[in-house]
Order: sequence, then structure tokens, then C-alpha cells
Amino acid sequence: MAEAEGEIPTVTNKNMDSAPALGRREVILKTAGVLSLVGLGHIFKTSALAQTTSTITATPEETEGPYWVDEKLNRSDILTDPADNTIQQGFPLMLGVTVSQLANGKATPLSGAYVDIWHCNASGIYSDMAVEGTSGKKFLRGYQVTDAHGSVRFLTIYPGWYAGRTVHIHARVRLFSGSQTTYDFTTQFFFDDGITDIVYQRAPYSQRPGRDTINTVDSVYNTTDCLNGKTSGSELLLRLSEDSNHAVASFNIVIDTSTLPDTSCNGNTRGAPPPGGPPTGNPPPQPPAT
Amino acid sequence: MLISAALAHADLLSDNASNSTDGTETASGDRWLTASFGTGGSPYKLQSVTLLLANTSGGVAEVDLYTDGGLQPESLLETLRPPSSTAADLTPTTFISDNATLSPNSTYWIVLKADSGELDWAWTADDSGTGEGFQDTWGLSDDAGASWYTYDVYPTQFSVNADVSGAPEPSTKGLLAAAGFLTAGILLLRRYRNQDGRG
Repeated sequence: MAEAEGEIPTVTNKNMDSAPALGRREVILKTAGVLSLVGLGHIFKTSALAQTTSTITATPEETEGPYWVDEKLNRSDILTDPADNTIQQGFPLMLGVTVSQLANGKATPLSGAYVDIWHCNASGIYSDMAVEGTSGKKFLRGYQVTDAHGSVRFLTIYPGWYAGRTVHIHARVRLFSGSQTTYDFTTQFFFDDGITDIVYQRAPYSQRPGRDTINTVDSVYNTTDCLNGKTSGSELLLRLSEDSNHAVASFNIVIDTSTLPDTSCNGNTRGAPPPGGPPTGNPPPQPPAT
Repeated sequence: MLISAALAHADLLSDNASNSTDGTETASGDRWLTASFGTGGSPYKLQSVTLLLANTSGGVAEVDLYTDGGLQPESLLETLRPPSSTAADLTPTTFISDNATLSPNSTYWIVLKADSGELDWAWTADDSGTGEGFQDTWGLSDDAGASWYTYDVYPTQFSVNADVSGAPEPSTKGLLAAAGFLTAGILLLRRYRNQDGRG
């Protein structure tokens, strides 16, 4: 499983010393004995609990889908369409993404990774897609480069929905050596359906009811992680919270750059089209502008 | 003595300050930093928070305690008292609480602000920590806390000292009940022996 996303780390008790004797008087010792019998002896000792990291595996690869366009937009706020400065309306989402390098079973922050995200707007429409009537628009797309902490952040909106897919955000991680792409990984982030139901009660999402696909029946969510046999989507759920003003989400993408992404499993099949037909004419991936 | 021991003892609620440091995040101006910790089943009185900080630019640090807003700080509870000075190199730097009350089974956020200059807060690639309230979550705000981005790996380094105190929790009530029964038993035994001796 991707490290710590929605997973409660193992907690172990490192100090199981018995309760110390508290005095010579029999009544005190008897009291301590009674307390021990009723399971309260821990009150008399300093506890030291340790949180240990669970087993770390690489994040599942998922298809990039048909809506990828390498716009080369280096920006954290992806709400604005640079073509006309219009701003996408929706429930604000603060998304923090960390990229980690997996080596010898240990994950460490990976700096210098290009992280692209793209997703549909509140009406379920992707930008810069001829079939969607959005050619030339560039809303809800952008990339950031991870810092020494392995982190990037995006200001966006909670995605809307479109037929045949559960709510999701696409993500791509690329490494470059000069203009040469040395690593190329794509995946998708998923949302807790209960929180989506809450968000979708608000405008503008509420103006478009009838979401037809939730996580449990989504074809991408329910692919199998080749590494551990788990449902990939369960490992790709955002750590997510919402209040009346906005949602906050995070995800830690763990990649093993010593091997190529596993495209033979469920990943990176370059776009099984959703119902409605695939768009055409997408430019091939290009290195970001330096 | 027994009761007082049950109602108050110092506890290291969260600690990863001794992990190896792998970098720093900078607080300055509207750029605030945060990290969370939790409580277990007991109420606590916060004593102090110690951050691994470096003050490289003559900055003035402020450390605040916030309630949880769901993966982000929400409301200010207390501004902790700062030390008289902060070192230029990464150094454990302690901020004192006026015994702020921490509710059981709750998450709280430590927020670092630079009232002037800049402060560097160490972070570690080691996600482990000690204390029942340890959480490996940190975050930042670029707009003075209006919005937050939080992350659940590679946390900033700090420790939280607190006292178990306040209203008796259920387990403490059980302790007190057990002590009461024992005391009553002893008193009854003594009374019986005294009566037996007289007869």
C-alpha cells in the first residue's frame, strides 16, 4: 500500500514494565495489586508508545486516460484558464502531494520530480478537448516540481463527475535528464464517496445530480495492484477532509525509479475511452519547459 | 498520595525530535508551518512544546496551539510563551503553555509563525515517533492560515509535554472505586478485630 494514505500506522507498546512498588505499607501494595487486577496498573508508569511505519510498497500505476495534454503549465493554482483568465467555479480543494523514492524497502523524499495533475470541472468537462468543446482552454491542469521535502501543492476544486467514472484526479510524475524523460508514471487519486456526497449537495454540483458511478463499481478503481493483490483504488484514496468552506487532501506517491513503471498490469494503458468516445489529436508527451 | 498520583503525572505525549534531521521548512511572514499531535483516552494539561528550530535571520518565533479543523488547524487556543532567545543553529527550543486543557481522543495543531524574520523548522524522513499522541502530519499555509496544505509523511520535528490531569477519566474512576472498596474493607476488618478483642 502506498505509505500511510488513509492507513492507520501500527502502534506498539515498547514499555510494558510492571507497576513499581509504591511503598512498604501493605495497604498500598494491596491497592497496587487490585489495580493491576483491574487493568489499571498502567497509570503508575510512564508509558512510551511508538508508532512504526507499516510496510511500504510502490503506488499502483493507473491509466492516464484519454484526457492527458502536456500543457507545460508550471503553476500551483490551476483554477484559472490562462487563455481568458476565467476561473473555474466549485468547492475549493487544497491538495498536497508528496513524491517518495522507494529503495531497499525505505521511502525517502524525491526532489526534482515533475508532478502534473488534471481533472474535469464541476460539470464533468476537461479542458483542451475537442470532443468536449474546450479546445484551447487550459483550466484544471498544471504541474509543480517537488522540493527537497518531496512535496508540491495545488489549489483546485473538487472534481465533478461524468458518465461511467467515479470522481478522480489524474496525476503524472516524470523525471528528466535534460530534455530526456527518464521516468514516467501515471496514476489516479480517488475520493471517499461519503465526502463526495456531502460536497455534491452544494452548488454548482447540486445543479447536476445523477452521478452514475461510485468507487465500488468503477473499472479503474477496481483494478488489482499486481504487487499485493489489493484493489488499487483502495490504495489510491486521498486522505481527505472537508468543512463548510473547502476540502483538504493529501497523497504520498511512492515510486521505485530503479524499475520502469509496470505497464503490463493495470497501468498506463494510454487511455481506454470512457462512454461517449475518446477525444483525438492529443499531442505526445513532451518535457516541460525549463 | 495515591489519588494525586492517579490524577497528575507528566507525559511525553508526542516526540520525534531525536530522529535524524533531513531538511528544514521556513516560516516567514504569511508563510506559517504546522504539525499535529493527538491525545489518548485521558484529558491532559499542556506543559510545553519543544521544536527543533534554527533562527538564522534574527527572527522572532511565535508558537500557537490550535484546535483541529480536519487535516488542518482551526481555532487558536493559546499562544505559548517563547524562550528568551532562539539559537542560529538547529536547537531544541521550548515554548511554555499556561496549562492549556487538552481533551481526550482529540487532535491539536502546533503552528509556527515568524513575527519577524524567518525561522527554520527541522523535518525528518523518518516517520516514526514516540508518545501516544504522535502523528506524522505537517503542513504549511502561504496566506497566514487562511488555507492549509497538509502532508502525512516526513513530519517536522517536535515534542509535546503534558500532564494527565483534570476530571477523572473512566479508568481513573475505576481506580478510585477500587481504592474506596479496599479502604472500606480494611476499616471493617479493623472494626471486627477491635470488637473481637473486646469480647
